[in-house]
Amino acid sequence: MPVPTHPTDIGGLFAFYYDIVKILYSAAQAENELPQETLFEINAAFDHLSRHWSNGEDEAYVVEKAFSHLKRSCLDIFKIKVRDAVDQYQKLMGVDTSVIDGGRFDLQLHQLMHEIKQGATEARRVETQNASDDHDTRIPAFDMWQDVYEKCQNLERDFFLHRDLDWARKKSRQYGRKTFFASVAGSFVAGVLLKSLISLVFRWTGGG
Amino acid sequence: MSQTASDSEKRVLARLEQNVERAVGLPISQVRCEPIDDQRRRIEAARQKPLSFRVRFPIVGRGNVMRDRTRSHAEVESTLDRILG
Repeated sequence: MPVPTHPTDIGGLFAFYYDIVKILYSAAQAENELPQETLFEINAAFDHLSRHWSNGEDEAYVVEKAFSHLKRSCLDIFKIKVRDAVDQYQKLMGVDTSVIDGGRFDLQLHQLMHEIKQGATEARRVETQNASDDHDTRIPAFDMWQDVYEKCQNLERDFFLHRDLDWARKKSRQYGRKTFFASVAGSFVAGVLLKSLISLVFRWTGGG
Repeated sequence: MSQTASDSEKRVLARLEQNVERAVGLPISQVRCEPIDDQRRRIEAARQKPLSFRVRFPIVGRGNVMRDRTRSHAEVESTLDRILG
């Protein structure tokens, strides 16, 4: 299917919508939580389109304006996915995952997060370079953002929803409880020993 | 300016379509054809709760009226830059 990269009429704009915007919107909606940022952009695009009929603005002009907002909605969905992945990574950092897959889980997770951050930074850099002209022809750094988006999905599927994560959480809790009780017992013994030592010292100095 | 994408862009789009199929759990043709309102109803029924809205990037000061240009994109940008360090 040809991908329209620079629609000049309303038909072309809706081809772009069906090719890219709608499927990304659907993926975002599949989580049953719609990001407001995306809705704002799509509302703005709709408003621009309406001006062709309500205010008599030129079709090419309203299409260009609406296209700009639709592109931004796509980029926002990619970026929101990065933010979700960073949050998921931070939540995973709160669990002792070193017990999963003999430490390979941690290694691969850190590697993937590094790739996501590196990819997003590079995509952001390329996007900024190409976005100086608001009339540019396509989604800036689309291929790079798509790659980052895929990696974020992998992080969610392979790590955040990993089948052994609950087991690791339980194990960390058990370890935490053992550590807590050991600390309490240790403190108690240390307290008793210290008290005995202090009594001995007082007795010795009092006797002297 | 070209009206159609290059082969590499088509490959990128094909990968994106696969990723979206994975996220939505439906073939891409169905994702494209099904009205978004029907999609919402289907997802709400499957999750047994109404769709909610969320803000992943701060919207303080944006206002809630529809403008020619919302400020959301700039806020998304600045927050992303911050989390990428």
